[in-house]
Amino acid sequence: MTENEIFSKIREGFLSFDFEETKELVKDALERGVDPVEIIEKSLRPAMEIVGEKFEQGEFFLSELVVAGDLFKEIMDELISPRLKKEEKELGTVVIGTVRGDLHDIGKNIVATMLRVAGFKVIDLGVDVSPEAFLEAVKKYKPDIVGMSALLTTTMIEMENVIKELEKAGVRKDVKIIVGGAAVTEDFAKKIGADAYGKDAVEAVAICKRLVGVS
Amino acid sequence: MMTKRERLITALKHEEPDRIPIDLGSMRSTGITALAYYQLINFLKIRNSTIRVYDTGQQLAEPEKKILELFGVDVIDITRSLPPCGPYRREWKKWTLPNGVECEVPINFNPEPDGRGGWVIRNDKGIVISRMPPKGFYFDGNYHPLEKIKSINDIDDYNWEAHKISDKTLRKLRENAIFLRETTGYGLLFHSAGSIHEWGQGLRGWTNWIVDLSVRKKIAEKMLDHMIEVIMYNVKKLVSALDGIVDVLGFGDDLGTQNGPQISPKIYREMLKSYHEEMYGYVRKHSKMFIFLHSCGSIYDLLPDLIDAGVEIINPVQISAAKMNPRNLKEKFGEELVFWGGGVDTQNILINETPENVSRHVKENICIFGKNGGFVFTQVHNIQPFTPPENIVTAYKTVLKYGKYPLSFCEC
Repeated sequence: MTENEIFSKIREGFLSFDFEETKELVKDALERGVDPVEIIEKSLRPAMEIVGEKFEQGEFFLSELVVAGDLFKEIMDELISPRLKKEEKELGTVVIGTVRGDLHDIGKNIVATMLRVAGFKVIDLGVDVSPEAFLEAVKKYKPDIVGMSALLTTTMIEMENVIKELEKAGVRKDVKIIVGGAAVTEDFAKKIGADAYGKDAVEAVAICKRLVGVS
Repeated sequence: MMTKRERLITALKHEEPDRIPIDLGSMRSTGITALAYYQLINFLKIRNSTIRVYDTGQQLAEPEKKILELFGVDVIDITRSLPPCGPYRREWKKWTLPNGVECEVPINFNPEPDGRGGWVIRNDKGIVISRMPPKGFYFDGNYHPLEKIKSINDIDDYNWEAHKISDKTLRKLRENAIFLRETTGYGLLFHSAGSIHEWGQGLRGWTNWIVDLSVRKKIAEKMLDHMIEVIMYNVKKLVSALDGIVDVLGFGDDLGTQNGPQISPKIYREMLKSYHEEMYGYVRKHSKMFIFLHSCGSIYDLLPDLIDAGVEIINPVQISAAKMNPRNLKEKFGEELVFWGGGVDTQNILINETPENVSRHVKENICIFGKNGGFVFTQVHNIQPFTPPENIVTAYKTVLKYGKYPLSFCEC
């Protein structure tokens, strides 16, 4: 089997969401000496892009996106990451979190996974993240992008507080800000001075790529 | 003039009553948060009010008799504890809302300060099961007892029996329902007959459960076997205790998100539908109660299967979610499904718009959903903190004024 055939087989396994089969194929490939970075770039990421496209076209549902993200994570954690000799080249760094007062992380977690799949370094601050904690992370990690999530109408106003906090500290111009979450809209994003709004995880990844000049 | 109950039943039978029936607070997704309720009673200058937080997770206040009457409410929850209510009530104690206002909470509600301005709630083993962060407005559950199972046998070891309804509870529910049926004209609803998808999520955690249903099917099936055994035990008991007294039996299973279903229709059909059929089918076969399903978000793609499984009433009809456009919903599913909700959008309109726009929006929605009955007016899900009270009053006044059949104003 040529390397290209191996990559194609892994992609097929991934897209049928067969966890055992796909992991076996990745394991075999690694044992044959295939570069783990190549497995990511030629098998896993292209497969995930197909999942994303099918999701945007309405052929796949959120469950498929979640399962694909979980499969990617398992392959990375169990098989690829331990064998990576050097850090993979990253598209950029994203600091992400659910805003203060809000404990909902389903959407935020899916976006974080999809960003990692796409090749971003993701610093996930978790839930109930205060404006001060966002600022601290911006100073510490010097990210390209800050991503904020909120499910509730009562907490989405916190996004504006984060932006104000970054402005006050003089670092707002150093980062791009993207927001999302159930009640958040494009208009709201504009009103609070965010750079972008993503309606779902796939769109968020496309926007983040654009924000760092890759597309 | 019809009684409240006749009005409700007529609408549920897809016929036009004298006016559109109205709900505020008959179940825990048609209610009002305590903070919004406090603002509402102040706005209406209602004195000697009791802010009773009966749902501490969502911080919902029980609407008092004065509000029920003012808003023209036609249906109530048989577990209510403020008048009109049955003889069996929980005990209450004083507590303070995040805005410093005094309220009442159930006596067994014992949150502890988390040391940073928020609160935590522990179970009897001392494990934190939910918390309200500082600046938060809800106690959100964050404990999933079967999240980290080591083998499938761990599922068998879970205490499933603890979820079976006790005969004592059933007796109280029945006596409350009989009392309300005999002493009031309200339509009666009981909403905790069971959930299977949401329960699975609660026990396994959201992502785990989605992956279980999709690819770890042995785990999902084991979970579903245990859950359906408990649910059917409860459903059978509830039907025998409440049929002929209660009008609507409520189930809950959130299947949507803002943009679409959580799971594909294919997975729904493969993994969940037969269980819903068993639950709803039993109620249909053995009782006259209407089957109400609460399911948030965009569930348009799942509605044909849900109807097929036996759902008769859908709530909260989240019209702000993808594909949940009122006209489309009514045209596609209006003959088979009663829309209990969707009267006014709470994510954008009720909280942000002017009273004039709220009124216009309500008129549009009642024209669409109200045609030929099959509609119970209530807002989409619970009224959130900071919702202008003027908008709430406007929404309900609009339906009282314009919701009289025939809906002749809709022609123009």
